[in-house]
Amino acid sequence: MRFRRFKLDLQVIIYYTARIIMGLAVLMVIPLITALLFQEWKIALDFLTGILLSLITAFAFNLFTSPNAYKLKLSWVHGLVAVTLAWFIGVILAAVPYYLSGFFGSFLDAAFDAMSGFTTTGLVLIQDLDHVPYGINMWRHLLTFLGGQGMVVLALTFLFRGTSGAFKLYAGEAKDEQLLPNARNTARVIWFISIIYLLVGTLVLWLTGMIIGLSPLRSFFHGLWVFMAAWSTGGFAPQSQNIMYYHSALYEFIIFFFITAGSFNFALHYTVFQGKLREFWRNIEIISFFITVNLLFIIVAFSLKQSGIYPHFELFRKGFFHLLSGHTGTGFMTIYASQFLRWSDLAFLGLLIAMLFGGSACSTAGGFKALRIGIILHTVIREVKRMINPERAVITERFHHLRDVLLEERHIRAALLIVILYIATFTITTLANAAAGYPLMMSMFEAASVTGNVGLSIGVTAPAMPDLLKALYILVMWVGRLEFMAVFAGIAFVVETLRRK
Amino acid sequence: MKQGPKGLAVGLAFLFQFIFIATAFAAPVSSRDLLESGSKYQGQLIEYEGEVVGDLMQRGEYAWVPISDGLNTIGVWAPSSCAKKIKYIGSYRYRGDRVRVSGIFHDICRDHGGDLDIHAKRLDIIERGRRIFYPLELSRFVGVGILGLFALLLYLLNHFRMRGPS
Repeated sequence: MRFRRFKLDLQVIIYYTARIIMGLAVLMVIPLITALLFQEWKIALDFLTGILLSLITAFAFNLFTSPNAYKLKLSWVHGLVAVTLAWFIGVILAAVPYYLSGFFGSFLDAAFDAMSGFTTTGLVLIQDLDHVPYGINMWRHLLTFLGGQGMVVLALTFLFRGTSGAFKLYAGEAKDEQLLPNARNTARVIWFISIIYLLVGTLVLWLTGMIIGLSPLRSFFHGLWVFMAAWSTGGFAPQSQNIMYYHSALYEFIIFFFITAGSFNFALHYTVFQGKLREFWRNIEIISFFITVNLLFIIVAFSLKQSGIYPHFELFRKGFFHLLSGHTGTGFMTIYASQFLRWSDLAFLGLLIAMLFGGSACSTAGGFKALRIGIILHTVIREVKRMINPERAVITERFHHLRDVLLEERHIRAALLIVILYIATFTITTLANAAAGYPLMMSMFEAASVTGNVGLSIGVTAPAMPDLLKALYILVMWVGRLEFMAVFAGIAFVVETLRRK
Repeated sequence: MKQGPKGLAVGLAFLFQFIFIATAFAAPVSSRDLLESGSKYQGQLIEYEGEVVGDLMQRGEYAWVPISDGLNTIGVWAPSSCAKKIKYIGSYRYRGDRVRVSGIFHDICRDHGGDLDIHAKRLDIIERGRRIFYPLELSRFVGVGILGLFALLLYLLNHFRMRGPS
């Protein structure tokens, strides 16, 4: 009886994992076509290999499921484990064309960049980026765009027949806002919003690219890729100089807008799309984000001003850009990694905190998330009120997130749990960096960047870094993006499986 | 006569300074040195050498020329007349022209929003770029063919299993 139950569990998990991998195979057709258009024949073969390997994996998985697997009921554990497994296998398969292209030192480096893309982190180990073909650049940015919306969101939109239990898969990817009663329709809304922004963003950056001197064709691809990385708060860019490559305040200003929009909750975008503009000013996440960005910028600006590194306008352009890039979890840079070392400790600390805070829940951003910071702040207010009021007084606290919500213990518990897990992960990663021989401040900076899925780098992330550290970063990016629970459920399932054997 | 030794001393000082500057900047400075010791080179006339990569971005009478020395890429702000000498730009399909730039280094450029850059006074082509060819190996085609057959086999297996009595 117990074995039969376990077999059914496995069937459900494998069925849904196979579906998600099938989605990945379909997606690889886009860089394949790009490579063919630009006559990059060798790269086209690499993608064909990737597609075939993905199909073989999906078909092989299907052999282990019964034809009626889709009728089986999906539980929360199934959803979480399927998502964890799909991300793990997805990263390995996505790394195949990377590795075959010859732009990576090892398969581990290729898997690192694939995970960095999926998790919208933006740290890279790719070598000789300025000579990377169109096909690979398309794949890099597509991965990060897909990662921002969610691999499962894509699969839900196109590949699932039934909708029962689909929310469990969707939520496994750390997206807990159900915009519509049906998870499949919610996924479609997320894609609808993202595609609208993609069209507008690419057009704006395309035109701006031509104004700043790029050729129309190059400007189109730069615009498309930079938008994909901006909207998904990913931080990849087609050239090694990242955003400094463009030497344009206008280009940076447009990016400001899209990285901020990308870090907002999809539910908020949907509400604003419906014409409910008031929500924008009342939402706890927007208020929390606005307060933390401004407070941290005061700290960074004050410190940079004192150290005299940048004159006035340059201070704003460099200081605010990197603060916003860090806070939204994007990781775009307009200075070189080694230049961060000249920032004063206080400015450094401000940026580090911003990276850990992150953007909104149910967005493309990582980190603690503005909603949780808002909830913790409301909890502090509630506790202070309790202290100054008579013991018998009933103190309640409310916050506004799409609707007025009464602050309950479950909200506080959930927010604190994730924040504590983030801090623990940040501490472990800092210790690992320090153990590998990096100075403490560098270790903390890079750890905050990996934990918050940001992508700003002070120079630790490089092909020459120890393999063990690369593997740890892959794991941290993964758990950070899935917000721990899905990965924990996956590990628990494996442990349970081994115990039963 | 009294001015003699003093004049000689000044002359020698200038000569030594010239020799020092000439030896210091005769060899191109690497991007690593420029990035790590930026303040040391701030406002100095330097020589930088590398491959032109990416795009030439024309801005009025000047152009941005990204130049990579293999370690990092640095933006060079060059007069259009200099940029016009460039024929090949490095990409997947081309090895870009190798150039030597003589110009003023800016660790934090006030003219360009605080970017690290070099304002070129002179740009010389050292070596012309070329087209890169990537040979297609037969083994890769065979590998893809085998994977394709395997994928087809698995698909058919699944297909008949779905249609079979279960």
